[in-house]
Amino acid sequence: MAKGGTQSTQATLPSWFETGLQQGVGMGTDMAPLMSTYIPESGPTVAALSPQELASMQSTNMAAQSFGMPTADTSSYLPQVQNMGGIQGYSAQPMIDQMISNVPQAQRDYIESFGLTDTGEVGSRAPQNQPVELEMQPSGGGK
Amino acid sequence: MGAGANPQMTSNPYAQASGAQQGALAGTAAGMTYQPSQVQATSYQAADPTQFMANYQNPYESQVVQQTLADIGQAQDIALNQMGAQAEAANAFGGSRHGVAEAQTRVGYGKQAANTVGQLRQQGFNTALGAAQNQAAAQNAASQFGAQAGMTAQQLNQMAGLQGAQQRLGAASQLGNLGRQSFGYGQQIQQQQAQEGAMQRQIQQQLIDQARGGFQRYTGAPQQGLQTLISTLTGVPNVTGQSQSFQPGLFNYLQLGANMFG
Repeated sequence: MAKGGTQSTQATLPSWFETGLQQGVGMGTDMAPLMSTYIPESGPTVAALSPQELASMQSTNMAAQSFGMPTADTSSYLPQVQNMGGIQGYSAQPMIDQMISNVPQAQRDYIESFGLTDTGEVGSRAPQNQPVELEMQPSGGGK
Repeated sequence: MGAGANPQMTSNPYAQASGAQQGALAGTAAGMTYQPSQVQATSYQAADPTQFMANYQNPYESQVVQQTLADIGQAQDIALNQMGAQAEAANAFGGSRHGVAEAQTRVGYGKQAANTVGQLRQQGFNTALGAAQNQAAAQNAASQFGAQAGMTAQQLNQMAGLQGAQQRLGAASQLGNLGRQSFGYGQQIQQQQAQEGAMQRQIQQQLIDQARGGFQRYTGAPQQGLQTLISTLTGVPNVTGQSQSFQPGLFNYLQLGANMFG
């Protein structure tokens, strides 16, 4: 024990602000699995060639053919046109899927363990499943 | 051919251009090797009048001559008879004078006969020669006309050939221009199609981008909420305060006791 007394100074926050911080941390914790979840963008990402453009390309082939020059079939070069909600375009998703499938399974499992499962459960490495006793507990990720 | 196209348009403009170009090339190549017809000098053999003379000999000339000779002979006989009668009347028939006179008469008729026959033959020859010369002249004129006409025909044919070659070259050039025109039509239409098609595709791409943006806003909506909360908290100025506390020590307690009992 000191002979004289001890004088200390502490920074303080308003209670409403502290509540807001706690809510923010809780919300961030809830969102961490969501932000760690890869949500594919299915459907077209690049607009398909329009009928007019296809007609123009056919005209190019007709011109080449008329002059004995080689022609080209664009349908065998471009991917299958996808129709979603009346919008026609090409999707990069098949290539993304293939790229992901080329990642080793263990790495994929590790990456995906931070996010949500297909059934909406948080992954095994999500903050909710970290073995730490927290003063503030998140809501658990439910709706 | 597309529906509603011009029924006269049997092929696409590029096929037309290609066909026209081939035709123009072939026509121009043919024009480059065109050889005009050669004009050959025409000649003719001048007609020989003598070969025609036989045709103009009087076939009755010999009969005329013979008849003339007969007539002269008859006249001579008559003269001799009269002379004989006169001599007999003068009792001089058979005399020397009668013989001389008779001989002179015969000589005179002989000369007359020779002259007459000669004139007849000369006349016949001259007539035949004149006719033969006329025929030869007519034949020469005809040959000359024919030769001239032949030359003229060759020249006209040569000119016609040249004109035809030039016309074909002009047609080939026009065909090439028309082919170029058709090609231009095709290109213009094609470029218009490409331009309009690109515009349509851009609209489609904008729709896709809008859709992707909407989807990303959907999946990022919670994060947006968190950002809003963080912005709210960090936007509040000077929220921190200070609190002071004092923990008394032994000296403070002793001083407090002294004060109480002092």
